Amino acid sequence: MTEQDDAPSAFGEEEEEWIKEQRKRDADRENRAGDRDQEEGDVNINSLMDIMVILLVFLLKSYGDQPVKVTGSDLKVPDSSTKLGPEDMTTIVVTRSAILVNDEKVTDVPVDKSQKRGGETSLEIVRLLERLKNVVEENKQESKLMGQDFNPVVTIIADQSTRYRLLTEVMYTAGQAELSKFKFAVVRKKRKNVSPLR
Amino acid sequence: MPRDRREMEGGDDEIDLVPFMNMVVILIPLLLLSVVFLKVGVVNITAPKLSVGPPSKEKPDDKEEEPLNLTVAINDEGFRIAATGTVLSPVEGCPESGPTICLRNKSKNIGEMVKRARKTSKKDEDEGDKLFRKVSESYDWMTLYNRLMKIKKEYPDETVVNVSGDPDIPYNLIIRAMDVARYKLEKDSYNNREDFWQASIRKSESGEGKFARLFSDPVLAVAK
Repeated sequence: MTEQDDAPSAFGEEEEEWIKEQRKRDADRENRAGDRDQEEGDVNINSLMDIMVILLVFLLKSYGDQPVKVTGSDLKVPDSSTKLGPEDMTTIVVTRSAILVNDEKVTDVPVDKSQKRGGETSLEIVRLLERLKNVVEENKQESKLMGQDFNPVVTIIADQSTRYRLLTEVMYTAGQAELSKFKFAVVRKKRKNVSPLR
Repeated sequence: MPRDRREMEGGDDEIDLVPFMNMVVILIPLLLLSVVFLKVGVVNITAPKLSVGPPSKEKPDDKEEEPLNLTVAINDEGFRIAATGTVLSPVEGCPESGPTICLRNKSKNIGEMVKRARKTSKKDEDEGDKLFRKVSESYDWMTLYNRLMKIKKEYPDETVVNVSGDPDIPYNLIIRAMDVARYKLEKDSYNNREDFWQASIRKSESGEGKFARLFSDPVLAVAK
């Protein structure tokens, strides 16, 4: 600005005055506009940010909280009034279309008889047994390293429509792989809310 | 030069929150969608006797009394309860030749209902759920509880119940049967289904905060 002001001007005095006036006016207008802009843009988002951060932390926490996930497109776990909570361990999921071990698909449901040792009447599901044996082996080594005893527990998460026969097949196969204790995952509810009358 | 400094100062005194806000705004709906507002529980099951696991350390001790060996088998017609090796005779109002506890409405065809429920579940989860609930409603859980309470009185220390079912019985009935057999309720017997389902669980007399156990150690037997 100063440079401009000091420079010799080709304009007359009056003209210069006018130009200065114009410039000032422009500058004022700009300032005012700037003020207005700032007021509008300065919505106080601090409280909103607080809420969001708290929500985010809460959601992240509850997201990682549950060791067992029991929902899916073809999985509806039955309700129960049990009081026991789940633990993190090997899981067998039996949905309406597949059997999964630790979230990896093992075989289809209904299980084809070629999948069973000894045909239709057998209780043993071959692919499931192989997979479980691997998992048990891994777990055994892990607990050996940790200096703990191997706990032969498996959580079974099954759809409510699962046939009892299939359930026994899965349990029998798990038994063959040295997993002899079972926990059935259910959706925990108050007793009144599991009533079929509802 | 002065202009640059001014700009730098302006950038300094307020952190640019926009990218962070963008992230948070995207993350929150994503997590809200994926979060499961369900409480997960488990039911402890002892393995069926057929399975080959490490043998259990406890050996059945020989008492003078015959072991109860209580078994509840679920089939299309109701519950068949067996104790001390004999199947209990049908309760009042059930046909002589039928199971111990028959369905509430004997004319219902459970097999057909289950089949339809399974088919519906494939297309419409909620509708299928309703049908499964209907199946569950057809069984007489209240009488099962009353009968089990009677047995419990004769064998107060017994907690094991063998649960079994026909091959086609859906899993939710098995869970429900174990639910009914798990804890004692406020009253020893119920006449009204509404009261039965509304009843809360009886607290144990000995330990505080514990619940009075009925037959709380279910063993699943393998279907033949």
